[in-house]
Amino acid sequence: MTEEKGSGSIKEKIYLWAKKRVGYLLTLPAIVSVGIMAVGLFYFSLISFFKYDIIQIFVPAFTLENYLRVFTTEGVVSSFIRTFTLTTITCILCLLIGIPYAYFMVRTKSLMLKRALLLMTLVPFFIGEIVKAYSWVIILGEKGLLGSVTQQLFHSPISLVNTPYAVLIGLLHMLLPMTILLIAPSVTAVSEYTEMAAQNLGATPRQCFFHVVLPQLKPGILGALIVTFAIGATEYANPDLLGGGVFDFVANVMYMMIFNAVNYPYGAAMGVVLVITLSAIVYIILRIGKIGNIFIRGR
Amino acid sequence: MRWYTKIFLAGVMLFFVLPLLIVLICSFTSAPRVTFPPQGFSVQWYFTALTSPWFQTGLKNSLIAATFCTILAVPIGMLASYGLLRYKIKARNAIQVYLLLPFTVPLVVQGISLLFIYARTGLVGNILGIGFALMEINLPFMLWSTSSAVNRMDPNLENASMSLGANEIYTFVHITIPALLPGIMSGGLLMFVLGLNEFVTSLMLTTIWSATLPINMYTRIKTAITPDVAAAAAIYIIIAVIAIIILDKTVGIESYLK
Repeated sequence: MTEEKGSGSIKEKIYLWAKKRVGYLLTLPAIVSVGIMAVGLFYFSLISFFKYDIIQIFVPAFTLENYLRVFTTEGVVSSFIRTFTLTTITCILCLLIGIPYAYFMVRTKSLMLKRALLLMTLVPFFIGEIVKAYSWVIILGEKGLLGSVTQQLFHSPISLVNTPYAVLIGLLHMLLPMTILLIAPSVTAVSEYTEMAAQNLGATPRQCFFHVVLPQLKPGILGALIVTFAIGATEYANPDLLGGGVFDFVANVMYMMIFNAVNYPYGAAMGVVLVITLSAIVYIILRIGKIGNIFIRGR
Repeated sequence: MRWYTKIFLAGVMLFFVLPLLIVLICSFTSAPRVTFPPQGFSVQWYFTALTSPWFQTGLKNSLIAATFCTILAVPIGMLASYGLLRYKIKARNAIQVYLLLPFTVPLVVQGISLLFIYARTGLVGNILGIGFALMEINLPFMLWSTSSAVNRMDPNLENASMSLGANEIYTFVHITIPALLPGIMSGGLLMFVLGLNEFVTSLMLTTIWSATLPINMYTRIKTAITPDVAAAAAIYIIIAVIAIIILDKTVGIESYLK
C-alpha cells in the first residue's frame, strides 16, 4: 500500500477522519445541490403561513388563513381532484401498456425488433414537453390531422384541444416512455431460467407471466409508478397548452396565483398542500412495496 | 409472437413517433399557418426561425445553460452514486429519498423555491443560475444512469488495482472512472438534452434577456400561429435523434435495458 501519510499529525487526522466518511463526502455535492432548493422550499413553506398584503405582497405572521382558503375555494379543490384523477388514470394506462411493452422489448429474440422498440421509446424520451405538447396541438386541433380526417368523414372538423382527453393523451405520451425505460432493467434482471422452470412444470405463458415474472418486477414497477405519478401530478405545460386554461392542474392555478395575482402566501399554501399530498402517496407506495431503493439498476 | 402482440407493439410505437413525424412534415409547409396536410413544400420557415432573434438568443441561452448543467451533473452524479452504493452509509435510504426530492417536489414549486434563493443572491436571470437549476431538477436522471454503471462494475477491478499498489485516488481515476464511462456518457447526454428542453423551472428563473428556447417557443405558440415554431420543434426532434445516434455509437442504446 502506498497510502499518503501526512507529514503533520493534523494532516493525518484529517486524512483518517475523511477516510472513514468517504461515502458521505462523495455524496455531499449532490446533497448540497438539492439542499439549495430545499432551503428555498423551506422559505416557500414559511411564506404559506404569512399574511397577504397588497403593497408588501407578504407580511411575516402566523396564520392558517391561506390553507383554509385552499380547502374551501371550489376552483382550487376541483383542480386538486382533476390533477390526481387524471394522473392516476394516466399512470394506470402507463403500467398496463408499459409492462407488456418492456417485457417484449427485453425478451424478444429478434435484435431488430428489440432495437426498434427501444428506439421508438427513446425518441420521445429525449424531447421536451413543449415540443411534444405542440405536436399534439397540431394533431388534435381543428386544422390538424384529426380535424382534416373528421372534415372528410363527417363534414365538420372535430378538435380535442382544450379537452381533458388532449391532456390525457399528452401526459401519456410524456410518461409512457419513462415507465418503459424504468421497468425494462428489472425485466432484464428476471432470470429466464425461472420462466423456463415454470413452463417446464406446466405453467402456461400467461400463468408464467402473472405468477413468476410480475412479482419479480415489483421494484421496477413501483419505482416507475412513483416517478411518473410525481411528474404527472405536478405537470404544468401539458394542461396549459392542451387544456387551454379550461383544464388547469394545481401547478397552473398556483402559477397564476403567484405570478399573475402576486398572492405569494396563498400560492405557497397550495404548493405545500400539493407537496405533502404527493409525498404521502410516494411514502404509501414505498411502504406497500417494502422497497427503499429505486435507483438500483443493472443487478 | 401472436398477431395481437404485433398490433399492440406497432400501435404503441406509432403513438410514440406519430406526433413527431407530423411536426416534421408540417414544418415544410409553404402556407403562413400550420395545417395538416401541409400546403406546398418549402424550407422558408426554417430560414424564418433561424434568422429570428427569439430563436437565436433562445438557442444560445439554452446551449450555455445545458452545457453548464452537464458539466456540474457529471461529477456530482458520478460521485454521489459511487459513494452511495460502494461505501457503507448508515443513512443510505434516507439520502436516496432525499435525492429524489427533485422528482417529488413539483417543478413549479422548485422554480419558486430557487427563485427565493436567487433573488437573495442576485442570480435571477443569470444563465449559469439556470444551468444549476437544470442540473438540480434532473439530478435523479443522472443518478439513475450512473448508479446502474456502478452496480454493474466488478469491484474486483478496484481491489486488484489497489493490491497491485495503486492508492485510492489513482484507482478511482484510472480504473473506476473508465469503467463507469458508459453510465457517465448516457447520463451526461441525457442531462444535456433534458436541459435543452426544460421549460417550467426556467420560466420562473429567466428574464426576457436570458429566456431559453423552450420559453421563447412557448411564447410564440401562445401569440402566433406561424409555422416557424414547427421548424424550431423539428430542430429539437433532429437534436434528439442525433443524441440517440451518438449514444448508440458510443455505449449502445441497449445499455438502457440493463
